[in-house]
Amino acid sequence: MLFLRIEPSSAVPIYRQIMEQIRDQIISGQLTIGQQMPSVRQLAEELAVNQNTVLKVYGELCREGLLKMERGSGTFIADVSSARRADECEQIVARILGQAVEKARNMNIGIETMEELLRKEYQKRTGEPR
Amino acid sequence: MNEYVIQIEGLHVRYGKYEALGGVDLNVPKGSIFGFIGRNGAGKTTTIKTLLGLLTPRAGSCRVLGLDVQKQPLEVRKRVGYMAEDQQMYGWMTVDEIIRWVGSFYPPWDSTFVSHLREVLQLDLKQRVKNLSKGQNSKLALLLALGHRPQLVILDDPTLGLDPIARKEFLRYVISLLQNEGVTVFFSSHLLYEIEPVADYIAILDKGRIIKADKTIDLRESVRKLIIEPNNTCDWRQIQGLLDVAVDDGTRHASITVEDCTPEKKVNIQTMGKLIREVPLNLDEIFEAYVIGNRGERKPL
Amino acid sequence: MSPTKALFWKEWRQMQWRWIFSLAMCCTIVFVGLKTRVLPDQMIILFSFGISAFLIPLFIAMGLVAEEREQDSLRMQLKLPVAAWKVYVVKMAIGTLAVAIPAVVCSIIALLMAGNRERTSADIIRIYGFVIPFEIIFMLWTVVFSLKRKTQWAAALTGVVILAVWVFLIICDDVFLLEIWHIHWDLSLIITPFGFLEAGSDKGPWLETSVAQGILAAVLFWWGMRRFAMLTRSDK
Repeated sequence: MLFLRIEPSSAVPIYRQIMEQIRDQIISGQLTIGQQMPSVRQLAEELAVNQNTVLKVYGELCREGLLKMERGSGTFIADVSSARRADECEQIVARILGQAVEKARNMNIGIETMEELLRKEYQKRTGEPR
Repeated sequence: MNEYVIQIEGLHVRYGKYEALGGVDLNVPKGSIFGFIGRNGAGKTTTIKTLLGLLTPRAGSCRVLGLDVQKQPLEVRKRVGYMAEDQQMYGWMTVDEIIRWVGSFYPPWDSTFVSHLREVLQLDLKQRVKNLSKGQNSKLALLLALGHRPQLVILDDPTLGLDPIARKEFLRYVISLLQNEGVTVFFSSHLLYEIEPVADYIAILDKGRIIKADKTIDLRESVRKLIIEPNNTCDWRQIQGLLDVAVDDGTRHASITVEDCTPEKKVNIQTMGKLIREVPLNLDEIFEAYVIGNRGERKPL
Repeated sequence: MSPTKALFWKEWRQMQWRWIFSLAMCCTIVFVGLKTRVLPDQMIILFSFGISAFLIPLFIAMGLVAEEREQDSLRMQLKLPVAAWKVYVVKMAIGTLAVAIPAVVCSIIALLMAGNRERTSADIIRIYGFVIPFEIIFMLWTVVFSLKRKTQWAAALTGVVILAVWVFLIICDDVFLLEIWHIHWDLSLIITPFGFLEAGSDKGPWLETSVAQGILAAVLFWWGMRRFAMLTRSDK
């Protein structure tokens, strides 16, 4: 069970919701290398989505090198190097930071204030200054 | 020709003086799950009834599985599985009786499959139809539609009146039982959030006409909403593919929803004003834009 | 089961309670009446015959189409791969059986109990015998004219109106008496099936009535078949 969640009325298309959640799980290590993914049919049934959507997700993730499809046996988590993982994680965080920067600019909050806020938030959550 | 299981061309249907369908064109590819959406009264049930030969059109043609519906309505009905909207069945019959009874009208009835499916759907043979819950009723109707292993299944608002759990369960059956077998599913509903996860294609029917038909994914990606600060009063109708425009009185910002939004179109729109931001849309909003969008003919609110 | 057999089975099962109820009611009256002899045989027989002729056809007609429209189950039948006219013909056939059976059983009981008692057996057979065509025609007219009705009671009311119109025609004697070829014709007995009932009590114009009613019934039956096929065109 992958425990994926689809938000039906979301502005994010369904295939992208699935793709991002799977990608997150692979990157963060929740899904281990070599672990077998549910078949297209199984996942489609589990999530109650069209099989072609799942096929598209698996296809895209294969193209990104996160999954590999082996004919006859199924789909497996690809050998993702830790460097690659770190890279992906940074990209995800960068994207979220990008959204924060956009918002800050719209509200005329400058870079110094932003750095302050970043430090405060980090401390709140980890207790470590960086 | 055989890549499409349903081909509708120029369909006009009338009830007395009232024109229910005013020129419907539709092609449903084989093996797809095709979502047919529209408001209540848009003409979905009328279209479906015409596809089954239950209504005679004033003009236009319908071909189902290669057969002309007007010429061979009974043949079409023999090969198509049909689940009608809010199906009332014979309450006095037991589940067993109604399965046998319906089965006698379809020569290629697969009793083994039906028996297995009945167990999967957990329907009790001895129970009287009138004592079935709504969920069980829907399952029975689905079973009766699939018993003769049709290549095309037409579902008219099949989840009407079902609770959310039963609805999801129903959609699961559609995917596991039908998509797996390569059966084409033509599925009408007015619940967009339900159709989107399962449909390969979506067609929007409004006031008796198809106003958009496309792959679900393409429809989602190609319709975009841009918020701009207009330079001066603009003639919104100049925008190609405009679906909806709204102007905020306070900020004077305009929200423009366009279909088939290419990068060129975006650039074009930006000549009318500065782009503030782009808003992602869900299918409900896309549907609204198509059906009740202000195309610039009314003063934008 | 073949499709035709399936159609018959369903109509039969659906009408079962109605004709059994009619049968029970009619037979009880005949049996109890003739046994206790509270009234002259003639009255008992006429009373049961009245119920047969006027009430049972209405009761049966209500259940053939109008009940299904009321419960919206007709849609289910018409969307099956079977021609609408076949459904109609089977319904009419079962309807005919359903009105005839009570009359036949009643007549047997009456014959056994009161044959050649106050009335001759031949008379009794003739009374009941002519009630059957009347019933069938009355049922047919009610069904065909109530095809568009959406409730059972509206259908029953249609039947009552038809009966009232017929009775009215009978009462307006003067208008309908004709003399052709030196024979007195009472038209009202020919254009309404009351001619059958008259034939039951004395030598009425049963031959002319049969011919006229036969033609009318055929036309009505055919017209009803056309209208029935259109019932899929609801205003949804």
